[in-house]
Amino acid sequence: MDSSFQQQSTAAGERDPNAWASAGDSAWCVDIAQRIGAGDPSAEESLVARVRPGLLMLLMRRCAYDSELAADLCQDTLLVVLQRLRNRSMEDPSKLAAFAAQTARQLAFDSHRRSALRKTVVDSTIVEMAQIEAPGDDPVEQASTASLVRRLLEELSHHRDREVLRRFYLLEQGKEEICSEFGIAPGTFDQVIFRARARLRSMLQARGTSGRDLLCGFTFWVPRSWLN
Amino acid sequence: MAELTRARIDSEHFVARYAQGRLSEAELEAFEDYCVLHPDVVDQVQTDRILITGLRHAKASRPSRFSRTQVFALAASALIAVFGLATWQLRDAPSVENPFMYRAGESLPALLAQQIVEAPAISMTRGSTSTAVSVEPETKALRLEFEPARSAGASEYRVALAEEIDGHWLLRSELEHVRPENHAVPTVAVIVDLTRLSSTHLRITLAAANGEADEFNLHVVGKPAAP
Repeated sequence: MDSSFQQQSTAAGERDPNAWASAGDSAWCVDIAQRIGAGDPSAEESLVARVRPGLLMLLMRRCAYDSELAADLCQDTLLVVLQRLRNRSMEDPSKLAAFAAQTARQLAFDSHRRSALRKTVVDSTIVEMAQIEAPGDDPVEQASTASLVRRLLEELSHHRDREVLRRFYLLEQGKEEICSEFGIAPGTFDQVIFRARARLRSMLQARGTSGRDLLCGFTFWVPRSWLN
Repeated sequence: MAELTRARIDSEHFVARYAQGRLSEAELEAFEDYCVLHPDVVDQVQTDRILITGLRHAKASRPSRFSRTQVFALAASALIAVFGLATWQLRDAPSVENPFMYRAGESLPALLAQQIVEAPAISMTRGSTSTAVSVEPETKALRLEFEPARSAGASEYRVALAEEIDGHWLLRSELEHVRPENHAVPTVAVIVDLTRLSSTHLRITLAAANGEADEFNLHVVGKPAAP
């Protein structure tokens, strides 16, 4: 059994139920680190396939949704992580996810600081950049998304469910406030949200676009030779 | 913050709150750490973002019950009425003063558009923030980006620009700024016309409808004094 999980056991000998969720992840991280350290290329593929979406999500947010910069920094992050694992120089492989996330945050911060320190120069080409306030703000895509969501709302049989969605997502009201106002149990609220999300995902899949497609415009691989 | 579990993510709606930009810094980092190993949660975040964007646009563009011809006729009538009213209202009004500040992305005066300089993005974490930016003497305008903290959840801001004259802050320009729909991070970008400002000390205030406001002080180094 994973040693880190054993350490999370309670004094009474019963395991903390919350520890179960992370125990599997920690064990996976330790296993993948050992395999990469042993030179298993399929382990590297597994690692990249699993962590890339989360790292890209993190970096997109921290790079003001500049997808090209986020993809570059994601690649740099993976290089750092893989290098550590190949050299077996990661102190605690069970904390692999936290290390990768922190590396990504640091790279994003460094990138932001570099651009902030860059001396300003007069450049008329910047004018074009000023015109682009919302990259990827495609009106056709927005209209299509609006149409899907409208269909989703029409499919909801209860007016209450539509109103729950609108208040939660659009007006950003709290769960407690909405439950109290409509006199519904927190479990019912969770169900409404869960069903709406699941239905929208199936609609997106039927249309041929998964949620992650919108985030990941790039696929790449880090050859071992790049590190040598 | 303690390590996140899936049960806690679901019960406290981390996914929706992340998509809305409503997580605290500690929650944000813990959630990001969790997502690194859980691409299925990343999918959920994207679905929620789509849902939020779709709800906004679905609300803004409800299907009309009128025919296209009726809509055109109504729009033409309204346009004529508005034009007539505006002409009548403005017949004795003074000419509109050239503003000191523009929304990034909107059309700018030609001379100004050729001289925009990208300024470093100013990001604040808590309370007021101050920063300095160096410019060339011939710089005519600056592009400034702000990431509000107190008013981060707002979708619309009132952006005010003031300059310090003899120890007093004088309001020079105000504009409404709507956050782009697909930006979870509510960056507010404006173009400031330096040629119209006499001081090198500027203050930009972002005020949300709920009363929350963020204040940024900017010292423009190298800008010659305006006549």
